[in-house]
Amino acid sequence: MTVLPTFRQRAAEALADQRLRLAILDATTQRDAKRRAAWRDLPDVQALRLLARQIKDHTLDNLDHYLNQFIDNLRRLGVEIHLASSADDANAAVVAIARQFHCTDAVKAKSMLTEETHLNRALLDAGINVVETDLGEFLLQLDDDRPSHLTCPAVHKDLDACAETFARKLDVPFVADPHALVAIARKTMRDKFRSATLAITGVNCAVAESGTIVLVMNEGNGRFCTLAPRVHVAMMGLEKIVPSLADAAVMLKLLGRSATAQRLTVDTHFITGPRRDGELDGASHMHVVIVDAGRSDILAGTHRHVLRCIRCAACLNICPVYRSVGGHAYGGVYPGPIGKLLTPLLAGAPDAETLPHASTLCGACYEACPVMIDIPQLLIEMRRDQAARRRGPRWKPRLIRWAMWLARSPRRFVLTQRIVRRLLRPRSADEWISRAPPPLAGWTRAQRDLPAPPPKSFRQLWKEGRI
Amino acid sequence: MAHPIHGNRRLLDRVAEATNQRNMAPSPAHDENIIRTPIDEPLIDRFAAEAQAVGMSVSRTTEASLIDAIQSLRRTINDELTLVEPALAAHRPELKTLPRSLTHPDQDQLYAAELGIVGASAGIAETGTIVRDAGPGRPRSFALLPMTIIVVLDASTLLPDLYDALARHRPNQLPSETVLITGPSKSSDIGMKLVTGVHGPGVVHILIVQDA
Amino acid sequence: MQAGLFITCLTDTFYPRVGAAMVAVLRHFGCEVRFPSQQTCCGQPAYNNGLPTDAAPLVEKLARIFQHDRYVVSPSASCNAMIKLHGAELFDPGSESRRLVDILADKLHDFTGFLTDVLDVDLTRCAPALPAQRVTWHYSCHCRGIIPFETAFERIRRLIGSRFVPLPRADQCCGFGGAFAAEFEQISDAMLEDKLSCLRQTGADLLICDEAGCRMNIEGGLHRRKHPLTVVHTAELIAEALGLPLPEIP
Repeated sequence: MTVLPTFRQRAAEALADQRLRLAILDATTQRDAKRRAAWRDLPDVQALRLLARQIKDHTLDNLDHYLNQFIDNLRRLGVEIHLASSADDANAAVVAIARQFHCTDAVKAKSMLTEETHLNRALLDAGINVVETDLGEFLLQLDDDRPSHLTCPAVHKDLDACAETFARKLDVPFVADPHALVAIARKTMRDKFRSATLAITGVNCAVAESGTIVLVMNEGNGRFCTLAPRVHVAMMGLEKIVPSLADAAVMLKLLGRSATAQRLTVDTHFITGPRRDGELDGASHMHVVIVDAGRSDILAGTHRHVLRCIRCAACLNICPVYRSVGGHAYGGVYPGPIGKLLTPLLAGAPDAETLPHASTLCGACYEACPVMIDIPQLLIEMRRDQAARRRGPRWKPRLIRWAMWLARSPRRFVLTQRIVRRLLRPRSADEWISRAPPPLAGWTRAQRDLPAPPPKSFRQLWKEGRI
Repeated sequence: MAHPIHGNRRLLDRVAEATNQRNMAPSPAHDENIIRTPIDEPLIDRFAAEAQAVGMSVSRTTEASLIDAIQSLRRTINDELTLVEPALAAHRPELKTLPRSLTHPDQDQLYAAELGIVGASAGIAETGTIVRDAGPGRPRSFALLPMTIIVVLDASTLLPDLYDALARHRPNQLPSETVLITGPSKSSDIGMKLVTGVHGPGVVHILIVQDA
Repeated sequence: MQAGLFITCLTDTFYPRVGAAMVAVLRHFGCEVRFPSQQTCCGQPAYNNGLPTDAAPLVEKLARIFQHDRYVVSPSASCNAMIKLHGAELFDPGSESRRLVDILADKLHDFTGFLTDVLDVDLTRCAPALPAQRVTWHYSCHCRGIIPFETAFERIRRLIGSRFVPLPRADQCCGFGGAFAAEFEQISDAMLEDKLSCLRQTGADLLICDEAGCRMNIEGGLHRRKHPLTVVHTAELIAEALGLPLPEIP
């Protein structure tokens, strides 16, 4: 699937697709409403958010300590650890593990990190077949499509589109019935689970004090991945650590409620090492790949709070920009408000530098974030970074600087008001302008007129003694 | 023997650099009043209500009536091939006498079974959750592969809150896996319509044994 | 009772009638209003776009201009938010500028908040007669952080009474966002379309919108679509409902 080069082009393409817009608006407004209801169910959600934020900040402040503790526990449990400084290192580690076990078929549970590193591509290049087992991801894989939402990856495909894909790619009759499609997926997937040597998962939460990884899912595919194949590889970003099981409980109290309005997802599983003596299933070999890929840079910098993110997608569901354009417009692996930060900082995408500007800073995301990431403030920081490095759109800072200079003197300010009136009033009819001149032309290119400034400003009327 | 660490230790150095000389925030104290959901009714009642709310069926029974309860549930799915968890059968040997049931299936039987009868390590009342620790005689697959599962839960193992469930074991004494099951397997990824029984069980029956 | 009026650049330029209405209502409730003409802009466009050093001089200027007023009232929550939430960080703690900015932040109110919190006005008696059958209201997202949604909602409910029709997704951004409206006009348009669609659902004939930027955006969209819905600021609604004479505005 080709990605258009600029954010604006991608957004325009998405906006032109009415079906997509309705699907996204419907899905996100429902989810946001459910999230709000689920939050009300907690004894003191604001206090809990604050605690979650503090736990994350404390962990990030002491990440070296907790990471080392986590690694020590993994080693004690007989888990092999791979430290990956870059995305390529991470992929190479997984390929090496696959080769070690002569694996040609792998099953995979949904992991944003593996999307970020393009793991599937690396595995395919190495001759290893990998099947996505999460239903939405499986669907997208069939179509060579990409996820457009963190927790509901195929939200941009409606029922007919799903049925079309199954019919075409699995050679089954077209049946636009969700139950029938799920039954097909269940049967197809069982064969894969059974025959795969290797399972790859992500990690929602990694507990330092016990060496436990936590996976959070609904379909059963995660549990299948970790019980059937011989080898389990868990790939995690280094920021996923929490100090204790009790801290994990706090995160879990917020995660389900924020993501899918579930108090707990159907399957929440805690894996502490490979299978033990006398157990009949579970992976016999377990590997954890700990990935940096830009995270330590963020940790060292001013944007470190983005590392609190627990990938719940509450910010996507409430964001009016995301609601309009959907996930693909962002061009990368992480969409939505958090994606405007994670994409330029981590995963990258064509025209990532535009992303921090494509926001009204409305702050809805901040209100919805279970770990209180102040996304609007971080967007302002990114704009500041860009301005300092002279990157990003150049006309905007120039124009704004000039406008602020004009405003520093009341005389210049008043003169500017007069000039603006002189420029705009002649173009107006009945106090409205239907075609604004640059740099305001975009205003009226939308379905929107610009009000003409009245003949006298407030300050003029006051000066004339009329008020 | 401790296993090796592969890859470049530069990752750990980078993290150490990035966290160096930072104002260390204190380890946040946990105020349980904001973490735990208050429960002002018997745990068994809350558990039953929550488990039903997420789509599992819940019945209360006694030790003496357990086998009858299981048999009548089995009849609703025509006595199909059944897996019985060995650890559960060890305590309740009459389970081994159920027709068409296996405690040690081969792979084909494992994948063909329509029903799994398993035990639970605990239950969480707040969310209607079944807690299963893995271990010898408690295969993970018996609670996942069949389309229908029956979970035998001792009422005495009910806990109020998730917070309690994660405090059951010491950090260095955890089982290889603990699963918290809160409902049948489901997805609404296809056309935003909810469907159960995706990769895991679509039907979950919980039998709470009150006098175990 | 005395207050300085911080008119804000958009209201000054585009909605002088709002300013006139504010003054009329404040005077009606016994508050003397001073308008210092040296004021210009709060610097928000610079701050929001990563140019804090260009915002700082303007914030400081405002702090100096209003330093002797007992209170300061503005029609706009977003300019207030700039001062209250971001003003202090632009100056060194302990500096004279910082001291003045902290003072301003502390005594700066939005119009309706000033009526309720300082003048103790009973909003339920401010609009004895309404010029409309169904009145709705848009919550400007830049109120976030200084006026919680529930507080603002309650104020409007008390003001309008039984004719109030809540707007679906009242707290969803309308798509203005300053430069955003012209810079990303297609997305802005889509967001505006959703807002207008929610407005249509209310069947309202009057919309209260206190934020000048939002109002330019929403009214502009209504006008282009020839959708007859009158938009007013709370001050205009109260002035008219109380029968306060307003100057002839050319």
